[in-house]
Formats: sequence, structure tokens, C-alpha cells
Amino acid sequence: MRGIGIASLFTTADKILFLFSFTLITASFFYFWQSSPASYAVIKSEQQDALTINLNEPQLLHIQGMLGVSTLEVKQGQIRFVTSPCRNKICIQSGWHHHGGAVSACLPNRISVQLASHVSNARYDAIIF
Amino acid sequence: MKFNFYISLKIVTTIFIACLVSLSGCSSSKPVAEFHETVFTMGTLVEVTIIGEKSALSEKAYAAILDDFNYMHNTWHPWKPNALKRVNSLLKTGASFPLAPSILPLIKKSQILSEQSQGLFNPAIGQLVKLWGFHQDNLDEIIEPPEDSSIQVLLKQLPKMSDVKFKGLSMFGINENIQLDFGGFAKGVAVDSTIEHLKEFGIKNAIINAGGDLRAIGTKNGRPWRIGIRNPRGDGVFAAVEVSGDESVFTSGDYERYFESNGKQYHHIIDPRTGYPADKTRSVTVIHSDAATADAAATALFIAGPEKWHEIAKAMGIKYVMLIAGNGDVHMNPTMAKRIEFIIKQPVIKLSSPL
Repeated sequence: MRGIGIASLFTTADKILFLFSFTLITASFFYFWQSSPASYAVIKSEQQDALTINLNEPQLLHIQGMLGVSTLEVKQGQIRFVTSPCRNKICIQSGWHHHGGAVSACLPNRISVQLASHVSNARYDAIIF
Repeated sequence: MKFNFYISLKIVTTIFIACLVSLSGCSSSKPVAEFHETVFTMGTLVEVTIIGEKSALSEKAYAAILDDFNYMHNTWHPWKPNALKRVNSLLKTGASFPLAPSILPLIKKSQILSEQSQGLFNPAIGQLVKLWGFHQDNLDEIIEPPEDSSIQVLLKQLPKMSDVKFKGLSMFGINENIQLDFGGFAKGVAVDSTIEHLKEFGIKNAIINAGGDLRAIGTKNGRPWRIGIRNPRGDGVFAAVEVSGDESVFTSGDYERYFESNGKQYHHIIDPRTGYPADKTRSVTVIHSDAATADAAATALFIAGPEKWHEIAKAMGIKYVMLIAGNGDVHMNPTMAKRIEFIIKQPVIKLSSPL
């Protein structure tokens, strides 16, 4: 008695459906559970009100801190300190930041930048250094 | 009959796939209350994240731990007029004085950790730290490294944590050079203390990240917390690790606090054996249950360097270590290697024997 092959049970349309579903599941897994770059940043300073900015709108921001004005550059979903009145410029040397959950700061000038994503599951919940 | 069987199979399969797709979306998009706040305290930036609680409770708990942080900062700052400054002054005299309850837990805990680390973790070298200028919150005022002769003077009578003695309800010092400066360790103790305070509020899922060192409890909406470890040389995240339950992840790096003089960088992790910044390591990441131990271990293992870290980690009871050596090689114990996911180019990995 000859058995029926599994492949013969499905038409081309079925196979396309399976492929589509598999792709959708894989994509949704990565979308919800994996990578999510930051989409906005909250900039805080003890000298002015907190500022929420869209990381996809290129701009230069001048933030008043305790020592003076720090300049931050926003470009293509990233943000970085460009100038700061601190002496050692550690904030500038930390470079671009784009991960949701990342925090950058100029401690002497008391300015912090918290990156976040509108997607609830950002890739990192916190970044250590 | 055969036709109907095939049709049924297709329908069941399609429904099954549709359910899978919809479930994967629902589980992630379900809104979960997330409280997030950052504040400058303890000389650093502290981030507090609380998940799944009513905002009123999160705000109340946050206000309470903010008070805790400010209290600890004011009490434990080594150079401000406070309880620790008084203890330091009295220890130098050699005379007995009543136990200082607000400082005692720090001293007791650090004495144990200092002994386990063979003195590499040594908060008694506050004079050396001051000589380098790293006692200041703001390093901008440091112009150049200290004279070698001044360092050698302090090394001749190097204070140890065991130089603090107890007798009944009194304490005294046996080294006039002793100057307790708990530095980063105070941050670890503060993180432990505030996490315990959050638990007392009934909070089950939270992270307290104090200047890039954290303790995490519970989970992020049922999944482990995902922690990125910043690249010690360059932008972005170097590696990632997942934590859940109740774990601390602490990193000591040569890029955290430093100053430059004549084109050379001098970082803040001073080797008590030489009096100079330890130079064999770029960074050390330690995972441990309590933040204070993780903090002390990260410092001690950084100083120990690639040759000695394993011995010291074993003595301190540390089970997860990743050390990035000066040449960029990554040293890890096998259980840490299982938890680490490298995000950028796979580095050269030197796997140790188990801890």
C-alpha cells in the first residue's frame, strides 16, 4: 500500500501561504523582540526644562548647563555632544548614541541625554559602562 | 472524503499560523506601565526604571529612594563636612572613639572584600586618590599627575582596611595615613540599599543604573532585562547580557574618569601596589547578586589584570567575569562566556578555567 507524500497534499498556493506566514512570524519576532534603535531623546539640564526631541530631525541643540552651553548634534537617528564647556570632553569622546535605552551625559555640566524608542521593546533596557 | 480531509488540514494549518502571528504581536504590544526617571546624585547620573506598577506607587518609591541617595551621598562623601570626614579625622589620631553607625556597614563590608581581594580593593587609600585629584566630582581642575616622590611617601606606609580596629563599641585607627574614600563602592552599597527599599514598596521589576552600573530585579514584562555593555574603545555597544531575578552588573573601565596631561591619559583606578593607575586592563564586567560586591570585585579585578584576575575572582566568590585586556583580548570564565553576546566584531577570547 502506497502512502500519500506530504508534499503532494499542498498546492503551490499553499506553499506560498506557508512561506508568507513564516516570513511574517520571523519578521514579527525580530520587530518585537530584537533590534529597536532610539527614535527620540529626552535632554535634561538643571538649568532649563527637559526637552524631548525627534532623533530623525537633523538639528543642533544648545543646552544651558551648570558650567555653560553644551551643543548637541542630532542626525539620522543619532545624537552626540559636539561642544561642551567641561575640560576633559568625555561626553564628546563618547561619540554618537543611537540605541534605545542608552544614556549619555556631561556630568560636569549636569546635562543628560536619555535615548528611548516608541517601540516598547527596545534592544537594551539599560547600557552599562 | 479525501478532498475534505485536505481542505480541513489546510484550514487548520492556516488558523494555527494566524494564531501564532497574532500572539507574537499581542504579547509584545500589551501596554505595561513603565516609570523612568534620571537624576544627578552620588556624583553621577542615576536612572531608575520601574515596570508594571501604578504610577502613584512608582513616584512614591522614586521619591523615597532619591532621598536615600542624597542622604548616602551627603553622609559618605569623603571630603565634605559629614560623618565620614569626622571618622577619617578621628582614625588618624589613633585614639578610640564611639562607633559611627552610618559608616559602620561600609567599613565592615569593605574590610571583608579588601581581604578577599588581597588588598587590591582598598578604600583606605583616600590620600593617594586625593593626591591624584580623583576625589573631586569635577576632574576639570586636574592639570597634571602628582610627583612620584609624593606617591612613594604614601606607599611607604600604605594604609589598609585592616588598619581600622574595633574594640567593643569603639573604633580606632593604627595608621596615620588612613583616609577612607569609598568612591564607587559607596555607589554599589547605595544601589543595594535603594533596591531593597524598592522591594519594601512591593516593587518587583526594576533597574537602578547608577552611572553605568546597575542592579536589576524581576523581569521586563516577563522576559529577562537586556543589558548592553558599552564599547571601551569607540562608539556603541560592545556586548550584551541578559539578567533576571536579582542580579547586579558592574563595569570598571579606564574610560570612565580620567584626565589628560601632556597627551597622556590618567584614569581613576589606582593600583595600591604602585600608586599609579592600573595599566593592564581596559575594562572589567562582573555579574553578582549584590551590587556592593560586584562593584568592589570590578575594581579589584581591573587592578589584578589578565594574569591575576581569575585568582582574585575565585577568592571573592565571583562567578561571572569578562575582562578586556589592554591589548583588546577578552578574558572570560566559561559560565560568563555562555551569557555574553558580542555585538560588534568577535574579539579574541581567552577562556579561563571555571570559577
